[in-house]
Amino acid sequence: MDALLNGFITKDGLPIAVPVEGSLGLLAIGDVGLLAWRSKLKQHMAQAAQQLPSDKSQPQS
Amino acid sequence: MSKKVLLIGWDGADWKIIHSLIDQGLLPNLEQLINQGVSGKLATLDPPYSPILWTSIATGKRAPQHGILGFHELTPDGQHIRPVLSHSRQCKAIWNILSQKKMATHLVGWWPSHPAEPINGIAVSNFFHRASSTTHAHWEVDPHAIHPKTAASHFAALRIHPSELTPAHLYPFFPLLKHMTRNYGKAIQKVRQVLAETASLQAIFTNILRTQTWNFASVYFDGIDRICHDFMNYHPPKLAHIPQQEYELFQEVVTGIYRFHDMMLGSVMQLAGDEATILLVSDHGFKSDQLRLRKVSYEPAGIAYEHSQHGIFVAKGPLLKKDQLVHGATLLDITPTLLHLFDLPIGHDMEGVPLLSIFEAPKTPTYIPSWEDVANDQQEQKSDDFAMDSSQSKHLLQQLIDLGYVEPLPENQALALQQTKQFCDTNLARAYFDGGQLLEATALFEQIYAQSPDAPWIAFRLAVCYQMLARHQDCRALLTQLKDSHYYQSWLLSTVEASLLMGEGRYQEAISILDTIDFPETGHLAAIHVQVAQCYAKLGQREQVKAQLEQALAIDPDYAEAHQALGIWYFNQQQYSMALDHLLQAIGLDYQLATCHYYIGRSSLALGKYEAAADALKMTLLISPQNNHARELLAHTLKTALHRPTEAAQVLQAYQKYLQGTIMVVSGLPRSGTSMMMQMLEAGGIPIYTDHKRAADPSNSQGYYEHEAVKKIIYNQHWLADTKSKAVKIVAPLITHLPYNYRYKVIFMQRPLSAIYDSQMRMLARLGKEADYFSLPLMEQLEQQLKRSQEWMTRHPSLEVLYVPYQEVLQTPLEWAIKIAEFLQQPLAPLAMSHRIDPSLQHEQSTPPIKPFKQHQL
Repeated sequence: MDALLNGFITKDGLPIAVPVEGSLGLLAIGDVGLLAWRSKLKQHMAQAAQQLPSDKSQPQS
Repeated sequence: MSKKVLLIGWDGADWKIIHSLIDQGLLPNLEQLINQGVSGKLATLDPPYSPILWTSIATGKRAPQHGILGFHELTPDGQHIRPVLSHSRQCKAIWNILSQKKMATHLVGWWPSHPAEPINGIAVSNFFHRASSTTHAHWEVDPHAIHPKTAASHFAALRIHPSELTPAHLYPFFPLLKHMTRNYGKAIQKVRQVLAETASLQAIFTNILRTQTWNFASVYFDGIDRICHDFMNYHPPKLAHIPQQEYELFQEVVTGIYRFHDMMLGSVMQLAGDEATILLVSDHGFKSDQLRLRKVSYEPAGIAYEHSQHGIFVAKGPLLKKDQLVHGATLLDITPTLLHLFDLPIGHDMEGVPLLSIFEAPKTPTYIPSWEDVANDQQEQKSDDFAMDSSQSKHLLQQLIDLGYVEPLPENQALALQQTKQFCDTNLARAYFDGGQLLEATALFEQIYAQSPDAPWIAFRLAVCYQMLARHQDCRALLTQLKDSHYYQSWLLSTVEASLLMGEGRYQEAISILDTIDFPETGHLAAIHVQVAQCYAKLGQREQVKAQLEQALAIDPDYAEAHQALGIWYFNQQQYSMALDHLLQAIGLDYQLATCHYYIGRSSLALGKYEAAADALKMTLLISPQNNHARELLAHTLKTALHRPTEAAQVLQAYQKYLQGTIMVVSGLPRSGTSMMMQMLEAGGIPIYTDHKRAADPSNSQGYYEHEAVKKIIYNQHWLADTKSKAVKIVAPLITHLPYNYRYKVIFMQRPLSAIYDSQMRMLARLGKEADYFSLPLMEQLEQQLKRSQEWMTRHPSLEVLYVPYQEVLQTPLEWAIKIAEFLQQPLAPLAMSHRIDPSLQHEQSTPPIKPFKQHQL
């Protein structure tokens, strides 16, 4: 999906950023922007989920 | 021509707001589209409700023809209420026509388009993207909301649930979001919902453009309209009655939704590529600045009063002009233009016309009688399996209520059914009125009013119909009731009453009423001055007219109608250069003023500027194609002044299209036998258009057969719609004011001028007035009047005249009755007609005229 987003650039010629919290710009791009954001969000959630058990394993003070 | 066309709909998008945002550099993509293509105002229709208007855009037809009459409707059995459906449409839309021509056609979110129609591509209905659950996980897909059904799960994944959106999506609308308390939750939720639905449609549409073959793809967004209804009062400049805190919190919302649409447009332009033609349209504009309403009228769907008269039209494509303005476009022109882009014929039953002026090298459009007659295999597959059950219907209706389009329906089912029917019937009557079908509108409003006498908005519209039909007593009775109901503000009723008095020729009383109006809003002051000026014009008080118009312009120097009226004033004073100054200022402010172009044409003609006159008259016809007077004048100018007879003939070709029927007229100079002819026609079986106000007297023992409205024909011609299939008496000096949008069969009475003059003098003597039997100027005046009328009739392209000599009728009435029946092509009773001749008239005729001065044989 990121590859599809490569076709889209900002007014300044920079690649479109995909923040976890999303952006209006991504929604305006349409399906590609939406799916890129959802993918990023999913990735972020997965990372967060991975971090969660290790956090739990930390000894409590 | 181009075989890839996109049609994008932005409900409620308005040029005034767009220009302001473009000036701030906030809509770069729309600015680019405008600069690379053509743009202009798109005149809306009435009633201004989205499902009706967007169906007109997609069909080229008005509501009475396409059958969509509101947001909701009764089921065919009349027992239930449902949202308007694609099935409710009674004719083909552009996507049906293109599908049957095997074009790859896609449709997203159009209103109404549920259930999705089986077109040659993907159809996503206007209910596919509306969240029906509190979370995405439980959001089901209605199988009828998409075609083909197999695509449902793919496109369902592209829907965005409002709960998915984060503060990052909302900050552009609410920069102070962090400071907003729970009290503003409802406002935030509204934006969230609009944003989710708009973004869902964009995701679906872009996916189609990227993954499907397409010749035609269209998408409809309602976000701008919905946001403007809720937040326009918070848009800059700040209104005095809006609290400062709320202004600060909400002032960016309208800007935000426009910017989001601009960003979406940019993405679509990029996907479409330069080879595609893109049309961006809105169905109406939206009142902003000082025109915003403080109070919305309480009547069904009263929020539509916030709409303004012109939407937007922008088009860019390989065959279109660049950076040009287009004038005179209406919603009805979009489908004919699309068909022309695809080299397809336009249906004669479509009211709109292709916008040829947008093309670099326009081709001559082709026509067929109707697309409805063209067999369509796919149409036969229309989802017969669809039947909306009552729970689904209730659910979808509730969505419309939640969105604010439909008022909550009463618990009482019978009352709910009655209200729904009344709303649809009212919209049909309004559409008739808007389309110039005044009689149909009046009849329907009367029917609705009889059932709902407690609905003042019906009474008000009916009163306006009566006023236009010169049914003054009926109008006055309704106005009296309306005043008692205290529903409308008194100043509004006073302006209608003043119009009524003007229609009755009571101009001084109209001025008195207008002078005493206590205005709630200064925005209306200039308009009142223009109305007062119109009264003074009728009273012949020229300087007062000018003074009132100048006062109007002092209040509002940008009031186009006042410039137009002052231009016409100078025209009437034969000061054509001054007339042009004001008329040109008026079109500079509002280019859509067809009357203004018409007078620019006439002023230019008077100044001998024939090319300029032809251009102005062409523009008149572009904006107001039914103006057959302008057409006749243009053809005459092209033929006689510019020596272009072929072009003149082409111009006249459209003349017949705009004729609304045939009117039978009895004319002639007063005392030439017109009343006698009316009696004959009545005896022959033709209904007479008369109000019986002028009673019989010794000068006309059988009555005059006149109607008060005829005397006011110079100012009001709408009543002519009421004269179809009837005979109307219009004396020769007034006949030149007959509008050019009817076909006329005129029976013109001939009598020697000396006898007419003598008869007029006898009549004056009977009335105890001084009669001058020797006045040469009066005789010459009669002769001039006659000459003018006859010349005018000769030139008129849709007028047939039968000259009937008065004396011969008296001598051989049966022979003439037969001739008249043949001329009128009516099944008359000639014998009864001939028996109607009063023998005493023959006696009077045999009496030699008193002191004949001069013999004039016609």
